[in-house]
Amino acid sequence: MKFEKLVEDEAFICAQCNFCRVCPAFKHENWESASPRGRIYLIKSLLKGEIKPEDLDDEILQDFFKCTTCGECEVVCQTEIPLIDVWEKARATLVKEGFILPAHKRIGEAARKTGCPYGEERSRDWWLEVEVSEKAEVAYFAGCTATFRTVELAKNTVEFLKKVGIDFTYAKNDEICCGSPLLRTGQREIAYEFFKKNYEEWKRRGVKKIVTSCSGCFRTIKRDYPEIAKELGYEWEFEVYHISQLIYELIKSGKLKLKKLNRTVTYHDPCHLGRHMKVYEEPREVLRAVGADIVEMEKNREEASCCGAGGGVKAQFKELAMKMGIDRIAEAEKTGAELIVSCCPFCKLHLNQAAEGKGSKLRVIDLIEIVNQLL
Amino acid sequence: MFKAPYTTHPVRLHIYSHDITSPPWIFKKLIKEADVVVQPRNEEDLVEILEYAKENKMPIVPRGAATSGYGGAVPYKGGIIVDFSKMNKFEVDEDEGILISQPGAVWLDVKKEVEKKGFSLKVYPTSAPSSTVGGWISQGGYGIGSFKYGAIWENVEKIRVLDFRGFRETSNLLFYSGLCGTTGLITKAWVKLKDYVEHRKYAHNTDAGIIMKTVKARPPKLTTILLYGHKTMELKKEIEDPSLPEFSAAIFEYEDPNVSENELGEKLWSKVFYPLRIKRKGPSLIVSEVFLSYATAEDYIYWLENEEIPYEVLFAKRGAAVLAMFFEDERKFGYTLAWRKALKVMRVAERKYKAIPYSVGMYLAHKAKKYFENYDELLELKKLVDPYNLLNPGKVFPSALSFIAKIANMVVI
Ligand SMILES: Cc1cc2nc3c(=O)[nH]c(=O)nc-3n(C[C@H](O)[C@H](O)[C@@H](O)COP(=O)(O)OP(=O)(O)OC[C@H]3O[C@@H](n4cnc5c(N)ncnc54)[C@H](O)[C@@H]3O)c2cc1C
Ligand code: SF4
Ligand code: SF4
Repeated sequence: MKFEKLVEDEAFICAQCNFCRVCPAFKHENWESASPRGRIYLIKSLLKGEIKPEDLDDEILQDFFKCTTCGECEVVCQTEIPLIDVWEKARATLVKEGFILPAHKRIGEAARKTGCPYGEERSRDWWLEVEVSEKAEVAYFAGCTATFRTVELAKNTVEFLKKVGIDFTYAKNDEICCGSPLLRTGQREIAYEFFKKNYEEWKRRGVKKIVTSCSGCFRTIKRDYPEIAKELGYEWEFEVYHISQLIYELIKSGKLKLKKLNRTVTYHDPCHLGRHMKVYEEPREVLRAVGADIVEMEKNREEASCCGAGGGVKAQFKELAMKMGIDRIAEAEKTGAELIVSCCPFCKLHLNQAAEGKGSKLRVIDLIEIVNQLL
Repeated sequence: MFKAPYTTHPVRLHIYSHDITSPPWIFKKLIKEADVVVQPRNEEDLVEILEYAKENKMPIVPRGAATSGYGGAVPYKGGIIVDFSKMNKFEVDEDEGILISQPGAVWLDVKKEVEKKGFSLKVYPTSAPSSTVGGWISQGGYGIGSFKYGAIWENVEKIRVLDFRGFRETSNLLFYSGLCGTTGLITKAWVKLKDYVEHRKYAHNTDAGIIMKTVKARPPKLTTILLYGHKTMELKKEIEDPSLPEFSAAIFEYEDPNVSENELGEKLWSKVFYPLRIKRKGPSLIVSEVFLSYATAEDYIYWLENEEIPYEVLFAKRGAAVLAMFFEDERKFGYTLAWRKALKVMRVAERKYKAIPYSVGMYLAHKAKKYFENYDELLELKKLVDPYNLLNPGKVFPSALSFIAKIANMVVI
């Protein structure tokens, strides 16, 4: 079996040292076919012909995809393998060869049909209660999860942007999924179509800066889109920000004064914002600026545990996703914090379900909700 | 088959049938894959596994994290891989200053926990983030702390072992450490600790001759000396950190909070668990690892310097462990040439500088007689505790495969 060059080269670089045992998914699995080291070994074996594609039955394929693409393995890797890229590229090859999991296939089909992996047919601006500009330099990109699952994030972001007087546009029903769940599950072609649609919409609206409240969308638009643009021959000139970065900039420049939050909080780094994009400090700075007492979880920043939902895991492996979520809640409970603050609608959705499942009183609130309330 | 979790899935068996080495095809062809991988949760599970092995005449291959590079965890004759990852509990006897650990506990987890309790490990391997207590004891070796405290076997009070005669507790580590489980499976270990002390690291550009003066002076609080040859430093500079100097350099670790640290020390120490990062240069790495007494170590290290061979030296209590490295691409033709070069270096080390292999495992089993001073006694014990030769056959005690190994004679990662 052939993989992309990066995957092939890195598979041979792997030292099989198993430092990547830190994988939060593998902790709940028995066999190394579900561990980063095992997966790399499998790729190498496929390349060498020691394992044949026909040997990849459902069990092995499932093990291969029991990965949230969180990047915890990448941080500790002995030989500095860009493991997130390796997983995504290897998945894309497998999917091309017809190895796709049922829930991922469903996501792809729903996305193709409705432009949303949740298969939502509602108009994307169903929640919007204020007027927004048709054209502006700044665009708010809400993304599917904040639009259809944790709508309070979209509402608070829009309110916030209005209050601070930023003129912005929002594409309403002309926005389409950024493609993150498709890129993470190896279904690149659909994501390319979505890229084109969003790109054209931003151009039509005269957009220069894109702001999003979703870590997954942020990662995709800031890191994947320029690469896709290059591949497809599009010019890429957009500046992309996560809302936490924007808030931080406003506070730093003295343009934003917030009331105080007299609470003890712990901050959960979303993988897509933290490890994928190295944004660790801005959200913390904002919390500091509102006077929150931050107590860190044992694993924070680069080492932060994944919530368990990403990479198509929540869709295909509900139990595993729940176990990982409960692990993170347990970690948060140990800090004695009253609240978990995060910066991602998907982390919020999943961790709140995990907290409920665990019977924990802790709940997750997004940074934008706090900031908007304190404004 | 077993009460403990096990798998017979062929792809999973394949994924478990190796260690960190990537042996050349001639070897690979002769190595079988496991018939089953089992994860015992306790000693009862292990007893059941041994009974099954005896009944079915199946080899037993213990496995910690498979981070060793001598083939010890490879199921060359097939059989049952006993993966100890589920036997990973440990506690600290705070009165005695002893770690009491199951074999599958990972060194770094142990290190963090003993430190919380006011103790420090005396020695640990640089593979600590993944390698296991049982695995390192069984493989044997030197690590961080070994300049003062010696090899792992010198720091283990006793072990509990299971063989075909039953369980025993023994302090006679020389019959088990380095033996790769061929004389019994380690089910528990009592490891000596020291009171917690803050360790300080200092590094500077130096060479083997200068370090030998320190070795002779033996400052009482110096615990670790790690020397990187100039070629290794060049590689580290290229691959790890462009701000590193390209001259040979050594890190000195002291169990003394009053020693002042420096920037180079911090930089080199931050990668101390990452000796294989330079594998990116390969992607394949062939290593020749030997142990030398202090009478010849300095000359061998200078020889490596002159030959421009990348190397690392861990100065231990009674001698130096020297790792020479050769980079190649196993997908290319030149692989065999690099292999030959490494072979030559090993021969020079052994013949001219009286080195012995660092370890024997499977690949160097034909050197076991030279390596173990008590080889005849070991053989006697082996016959007694393992009459059917089921405890990790082909390892340490030479087998047919060992003659093939004689041709290869090297370790490839
Ligand atoms: C990055 C890196 C750094 C390293 N640094 C060092 C170092 O500083 N010093 C050093 O000496 N080595 C080092 N090594 C080699 C290796 O890590 C050590 O030999 C050792 O710690 C192996 O532990 P393991 O748990 O991986 O054991 P494994 O490789 O799984 O097993 C080692 C041997 O012990 C046997 N075994 C495992 N568990 C048991 C048991 N419970 N009972 C009986 N037999 C058992 C296996 O069959 C095998 O023969 C390094 C390796 C890597 C990849
Ligand atoms: S990306 Fe995360 S879930 Fe995936 S293998 Fe790495 S550590 Fe595990
Ligand atoms: S940490 Fe990196 S080098 Fe080590 S086994 Fe995992 S992927 Fe391979």
